[in-house]
Amino acid sequence: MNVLAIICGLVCLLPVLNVFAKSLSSAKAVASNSVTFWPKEMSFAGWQYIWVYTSYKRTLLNSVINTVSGTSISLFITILTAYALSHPTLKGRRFIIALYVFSMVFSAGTLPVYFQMNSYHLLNTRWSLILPHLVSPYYTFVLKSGFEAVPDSLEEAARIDGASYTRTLTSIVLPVSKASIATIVIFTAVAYWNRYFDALLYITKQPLKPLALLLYEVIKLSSMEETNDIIYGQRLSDTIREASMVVLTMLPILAIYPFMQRYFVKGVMVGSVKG
Amino acid sequence: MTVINKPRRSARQRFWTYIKGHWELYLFLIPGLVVLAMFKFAPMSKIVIAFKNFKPRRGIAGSSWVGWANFQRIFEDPEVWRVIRNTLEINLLQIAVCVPLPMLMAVMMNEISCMPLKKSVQTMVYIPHFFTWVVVYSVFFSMFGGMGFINLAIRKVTGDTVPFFIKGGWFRLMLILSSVWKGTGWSTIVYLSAISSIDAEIYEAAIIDGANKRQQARFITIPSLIPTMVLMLTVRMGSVISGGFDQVLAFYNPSVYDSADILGTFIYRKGIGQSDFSFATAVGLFESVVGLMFVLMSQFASKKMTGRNVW
Repeated sequence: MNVLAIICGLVCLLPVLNVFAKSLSSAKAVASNSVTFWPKEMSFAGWQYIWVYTSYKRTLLNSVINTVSGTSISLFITILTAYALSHPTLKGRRFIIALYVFSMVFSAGTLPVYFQMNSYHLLNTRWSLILPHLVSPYYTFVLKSGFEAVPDSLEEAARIDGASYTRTLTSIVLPVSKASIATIVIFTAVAYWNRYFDALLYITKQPLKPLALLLYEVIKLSSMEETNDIIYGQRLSDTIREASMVVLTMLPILAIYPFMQRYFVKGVMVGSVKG
Repeated sequence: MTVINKPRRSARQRFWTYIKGHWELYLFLIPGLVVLAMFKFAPMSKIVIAFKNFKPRRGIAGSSWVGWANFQRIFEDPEVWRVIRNTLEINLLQIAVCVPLPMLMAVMMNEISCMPLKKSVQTMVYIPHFFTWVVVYSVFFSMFGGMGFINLAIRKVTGDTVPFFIKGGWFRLMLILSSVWKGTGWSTIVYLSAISSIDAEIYEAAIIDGANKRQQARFITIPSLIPTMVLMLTVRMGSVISGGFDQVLAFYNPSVYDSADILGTFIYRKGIGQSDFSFATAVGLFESVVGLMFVLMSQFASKKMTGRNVW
């Protein structure tokens, strides 16, 4: 059993290692197909190329801005909505939940959304990437369940003491719901970070492109021929260029991952087992 | 004695009193509803494009009305049926592989006694879930592409390379393998948490009766996980017509269009790529309506089988 587990772990790790290795090897080694899981004739030329000669820095910044603003605004809206909807006696609650459910199961379609974005004059703006995803009905419901799990007695006591709903939310419900909130923060942030299709659709001007889109362009739209640029004293083939692009795209996620790990295991339990 | 009648408040007054009593909550609901209205409901007005012969220069109002013509084209165009078949085949294949696997993985991981090993395997197995599909594609292409080490090994054995990304059947294998790589670890968490809620006494009783690890897994763990798996299955079935877009868009190329083009990518290519706006909108509406039907069916099935709502 332990052996099987190790194999599974390796299966997940090795593909990543392969790309890492290629990005850090010399063009000669890569061309002769002798690179598997460890760099051969190690050179950082690929990484340096991506850092200096592509719009990596700009797209990285864009992704960070979009993710941070998107996640924080979304969190604000989602908390408010979920809190309001967690009161079973609220009139109109069923109707509003129905609206959310409907928006979750039926979509107008790619083209109508594109034309609507055009009508708002939001094409080629940062907002076209941030605004549509501020509300996730699914996570709103997850958080609603989380809030519903807070003992009624706590909230009632606060209301009797004369606290407003705002006060109750901030002083009582939120501190108790940290696990649920941490979960949706992580999932929302990762979703914003990884999204590339929206940008592919709405953004044509370079300065606004996010990292995921840059990777898509480099990988899918690059030429199939090997080139022989010499940069930083090394021949830099397309393979190394692409491998470096992939690695530099993975690095931010890998860097944050250890910090995230604590939270999402608990969070998935809150989200799914509760039902 | 006279009875004093208090003046009755009208329903309207009661309504506003209620709102005023809970105004904060209604205020809280507004931002979310505004976003939904702007980006989920407003675009629905543009669906009318599917019923017109839309020309951007003329605008929506100025374009001529064609009624169901675009939808007729959906049913008559053989390419559309191929795409629909691809969508269903690819998604069903993925479901068949990706739903049972995490359950088995969770059972296996549960057996690991060495804690550090368990934690590190879990860590490694969860990571791919956090990568964007473009990254997953790049990683798989690096391994399975013409120059990748998998083909290198294959060439040593058979003298020829396997066109994983060019031939339809192999390409679907790539889609499935990458789905497994990206998604299995993640789904395992759900099953692991379900396992942790199984009553320990049942295991103790089994051990007393002489059950070994394998029997415990077969008779206790797996049957307890079946309801969870059924739930995951029905949820996944709901997206059988609409799922997989980000993945296929990142993976596919013109040589596999005939076997890998799914509804979402087809709509994208026709609509944005070839500017066939009305047709693409019609196909999109078709996809959404059929998708809705599948979701409702899976909801119904889930409720029947497990007795609870997904939401």
